[in-house]
Amino acid sequence: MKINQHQINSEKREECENSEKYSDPRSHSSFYKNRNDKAIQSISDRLQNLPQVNVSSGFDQRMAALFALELELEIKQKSASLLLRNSKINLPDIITDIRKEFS
Amino acid sequence: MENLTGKKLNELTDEQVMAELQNGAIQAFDIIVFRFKDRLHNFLYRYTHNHEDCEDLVQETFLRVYRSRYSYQPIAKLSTWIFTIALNLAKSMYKKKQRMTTFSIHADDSDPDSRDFDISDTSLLQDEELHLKNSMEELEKALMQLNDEFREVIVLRDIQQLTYEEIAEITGTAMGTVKSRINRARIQLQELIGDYVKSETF
Repeated sequence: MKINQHQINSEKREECENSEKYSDPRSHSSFYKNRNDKAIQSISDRLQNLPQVNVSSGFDQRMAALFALELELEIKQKSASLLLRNSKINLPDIITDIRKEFS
Repeated sequence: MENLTGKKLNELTDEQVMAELQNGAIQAFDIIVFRFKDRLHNFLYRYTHNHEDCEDLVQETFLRVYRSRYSYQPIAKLSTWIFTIALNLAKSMYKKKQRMTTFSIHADDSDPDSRDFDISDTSLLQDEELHLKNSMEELEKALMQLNDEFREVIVLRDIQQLTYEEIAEITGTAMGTVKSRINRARIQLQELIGDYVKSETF
């Protein structure tokens, strides 16, 4: 991911400056405001440091299987749409029981 | 159309890879999956707190990305577009299941591939490790207690590190609302996990 770090940093500074605007109205004094800001900053840092929860090891295989199905469905839909648009195309039915052909 | 190899595709930006997918390069889809799977999972896990649902949602997100590839316009970042799809899917899934209010930090006990942050032998834990583990669990638990609107913005901001502009676009709300929600969410989190934070901060 290409994060615009400069933008993030300037937004973080803005968050500190504006925190009074959104902070708990109960914390009026500068002492309490300072405590509140520190705690909020700590929350933000802690959230950043939460361990990354990644996909499980079999995810790629399952995704590939799903995508293969998706592609197959897409081809079927395209074929059906082509047949619908060109009524002259006539495809033979699939032979489901080959014994009938030789009896 | 020139058929780009996987190596060349890898060197392109997200938006250029998407353009290749729109031009019919199927390998571009693999690159998109590779680049976004963990970020999406990490985001959706903090939203759903359930590994199974989360992986289903990640898969469904990628399928939707493929199906609606022609509707993507490069005026927006690809990541923003993908996160929007993921968030909408997560919301509609949980609306259907109506499970948003009942959660457990160990909701996924049946998952053999459980990725909870358990440390196997607690008797060997040093005080600091135990404190860290507990505070992380407290934070995860507190995160799930926030309402949906607060949780989605704080996860996108503090965990996914997205800009306000991107979050506003993903959630479909005004930037001022996003800023206010983030701040209120942090205050709520601080209140919920007060003891763990205070002992280290002050």
